[in-house]
Amino acid sequence: MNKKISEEELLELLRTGEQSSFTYLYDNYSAAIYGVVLRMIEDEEAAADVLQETFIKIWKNFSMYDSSKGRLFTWMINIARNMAIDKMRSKYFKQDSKNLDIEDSVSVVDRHVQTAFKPEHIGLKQIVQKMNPEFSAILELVYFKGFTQAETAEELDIPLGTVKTRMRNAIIELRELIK
Amino acid sequence: MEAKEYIVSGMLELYASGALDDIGSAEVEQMVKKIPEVAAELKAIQLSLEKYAMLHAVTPPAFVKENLLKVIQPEAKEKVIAITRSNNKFYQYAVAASVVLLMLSSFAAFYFAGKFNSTKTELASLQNQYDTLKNNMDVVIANQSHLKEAMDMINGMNTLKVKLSGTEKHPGMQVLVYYDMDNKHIMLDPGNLPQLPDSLQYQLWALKGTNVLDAGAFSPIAGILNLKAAPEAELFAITVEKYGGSPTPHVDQMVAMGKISI
Repeated sequence: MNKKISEEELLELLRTGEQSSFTYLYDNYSAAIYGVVLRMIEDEEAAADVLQETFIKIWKNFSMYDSSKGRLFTWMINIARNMAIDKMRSKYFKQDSKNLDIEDSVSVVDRHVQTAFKPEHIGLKQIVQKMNPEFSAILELVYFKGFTQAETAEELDIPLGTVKTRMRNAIIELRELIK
Repeated sequence: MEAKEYIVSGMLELYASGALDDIGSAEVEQMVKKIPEVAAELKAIQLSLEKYAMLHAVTPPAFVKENLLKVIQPEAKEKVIAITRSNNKFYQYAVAASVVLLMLSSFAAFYFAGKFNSTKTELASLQNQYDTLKNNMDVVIANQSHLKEAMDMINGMNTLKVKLSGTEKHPGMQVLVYYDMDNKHIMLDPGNLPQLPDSLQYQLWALKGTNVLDAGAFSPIAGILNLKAAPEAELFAITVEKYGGSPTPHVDQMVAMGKISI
């Protein structure tokens, strides 16, 4: 994304607590954040909730953002992902079709699964299609389902060390595909 | 040396995607502070994840913004201006005039600042629309070249077209496999295969005698898909497997199959 205001300028505006800077922040980043959250929890209502809570948290905790630790968008998307993970793991949030075993799949084959997530960039599908399935599977678990290293190892039935190397290779491929 | 080893360890990738516990994260943060190369690598990783996230953009419902603006609305602070009494009429008028002037100029300042900011935001949003359009255009061009490649392959002199039909449990399924006998490449038209849940994918198998070769896992997306090459095949079959495919087919999950007829 090309920003007409540089990140430094935006940070300065945000530090003053100027309301227009918040509007700018929302207009520029809400779609990306909402898209990722929607992809994670696949429920439009819950995703809108998470988006709202995320921006309130960003606004209130802005003073805690440390630019030496990473870029602003990285910080924001991580807040959103953590909130989405909390939501997914909360007992009130039911997950129905997610944990299907292969054994149950016969009936599923004929069922058209509609997910709420419909990206506006048509480039995403292309990248996912080109990606090694092993890599997209590990990205899915870690980045979108919030699995820890140990949980990922258990889910994929691979050693802890392999999680590290596979994740590295997955992101190397991702860098290659979206550069 | 230490930097290089740490970079290839995969710890930075796990850190950037939030998969480390507090101890692991603290370790990474230490290394990032200590070694500039490690910091640069982490930055590159974060940037690619950012770009990946941006690709997921979906416009959120408008009520979220409305709610947020209500929540963050600063409470109006009352400004108290004390005017000291003076017997001198001139000072009274001067104070009154300067208060009016002050009000007028603050109003103008607010008005123009607002205009300026909304223009800035409009410009940024136009820029975003342009970026999205350009991005989509690039993809259309890439799609077109993929399509041409597919057409060339399908129309190749030695390309066989194999019709796969649904099994008993899945009647009516129709899938086409294109098999290039020269270079053994495989392309597939998923036909009317239904979508699967995220955790599952279809997988194509090339069979010859007792040999079963994995020809790649796929999700049914409109268009012609590129799959793995298979050195030999008499028969193609499609099963439902876990996402990413399995080393051997779950035969009970077979959806469609078809024989090569020459």
